[in-house]
Amino acid sequence: MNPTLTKPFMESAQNMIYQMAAVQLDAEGDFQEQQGDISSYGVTALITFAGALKGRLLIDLEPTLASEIVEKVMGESFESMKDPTFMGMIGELSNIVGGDALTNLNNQQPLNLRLASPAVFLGKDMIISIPKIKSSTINMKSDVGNMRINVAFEKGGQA
Amino acid sequence: MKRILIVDDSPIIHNLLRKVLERNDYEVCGDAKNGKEGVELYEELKPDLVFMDITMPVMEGIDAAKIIKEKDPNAKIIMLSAMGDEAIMNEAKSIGVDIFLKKPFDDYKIVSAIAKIV
Amino acid sequence: MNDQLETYNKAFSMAVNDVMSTMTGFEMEEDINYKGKLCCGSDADPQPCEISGAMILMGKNTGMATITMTRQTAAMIVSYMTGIPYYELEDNDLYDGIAELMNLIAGRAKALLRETDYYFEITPPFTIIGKNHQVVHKKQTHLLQKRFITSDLSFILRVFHVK
Repeated sequence: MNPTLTKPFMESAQNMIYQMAAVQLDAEGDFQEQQGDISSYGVTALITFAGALKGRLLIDLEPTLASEIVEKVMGESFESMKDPTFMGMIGELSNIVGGDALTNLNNQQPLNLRLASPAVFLGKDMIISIPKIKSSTINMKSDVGNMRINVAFEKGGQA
Repeated sequence: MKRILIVDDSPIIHNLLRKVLERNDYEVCGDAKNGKEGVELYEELKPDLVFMDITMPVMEGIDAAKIIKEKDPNAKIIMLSAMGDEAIMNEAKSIGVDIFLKKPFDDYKIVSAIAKIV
Repeated sequence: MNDQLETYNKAFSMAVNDVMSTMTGFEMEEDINYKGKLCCGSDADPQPCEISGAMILMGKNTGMATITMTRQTAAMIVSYMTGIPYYELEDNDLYDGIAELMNLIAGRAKALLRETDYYFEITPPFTIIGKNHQVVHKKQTHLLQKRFITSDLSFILRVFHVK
């Protein structure tokens, strides 16, 4: 997939998560085509967007990383990740990361991309299967846990 | 104490923004979860300042800000959104939004923006 | 209830019934005793959620639709949809089949909601697999949830929607 379409998502994730929670995320290599289903780390947010192109962003976090971000931003800890505030914050995180990436893409090209509202999935040993769509994934590491970003554009990003 | 109305459909943002405002000695006089409620609460509460999200159900922030500015040209509105591309910012500017802030935010970002217009 | 909301409430039920009847031959009924839960139950739940077909709905009102069921139910439905015996179904057949079922249900509902404020564009469907996974949709202001049953199987439909 065209790196000019995928790279902003990685950069926005790094910048926004650092700004919000002072967590440094390092990318492991470049975006690679996703082969098969995604075995979730445990906390997954999915947000779609549309404009001149349609696509979606999936952010998948290890529970330790998700908890660290939520605690830093909210200033409180949660007994369970099922707490609606916890899940809501993960949704908001994907909104902010996606919003920043789309802002950068829109400023580079007249794509007029707009976000829909995010959905959050939580579960142990969860698999997310998205048939018939090519997507690209990049893995990211931090001191408090791993994260992956998966980006898909309809028709591979060809308008 | 300056009175502030928050218009955002995310309870998380309400919660976070309220904390920032209250610890900096501002009073949150109202919470609206969409643009329509924001317009109604503005008329009822006459706040000193409004924080307005853009993408919301029922009525979007740009439309709500436009109505508020038409009814009260002296209204002070800070747009607070996850999106901040030129097209959106220009649209906000054209209807008279005073300041456009991109999420995420911290105390400094919020307090500096307020200080510029109130 | 206004006319549009009533149409919306009925559209997904009609879509489930039409699609299930056409694609699998099962005549589904709505479980009128279903009280509904926002999240799936505990491990002790007699009908744990193991597979969800899901789709983000985009339009004037955005939201998400899910159909949630046990793995056994999913296998039975996909087997009837594809003609492949359930014991020969591979994981990918199952996941694709449930995503496709969601696609068909949403597509049918979309057609029924034309001319209403609830009209939406469909997006690529996906499948979530995991015992008792949880799904939350941000900005949800309206949740429609229904359980559909036959003598052989049951599943839960949820439509998270912004009014």
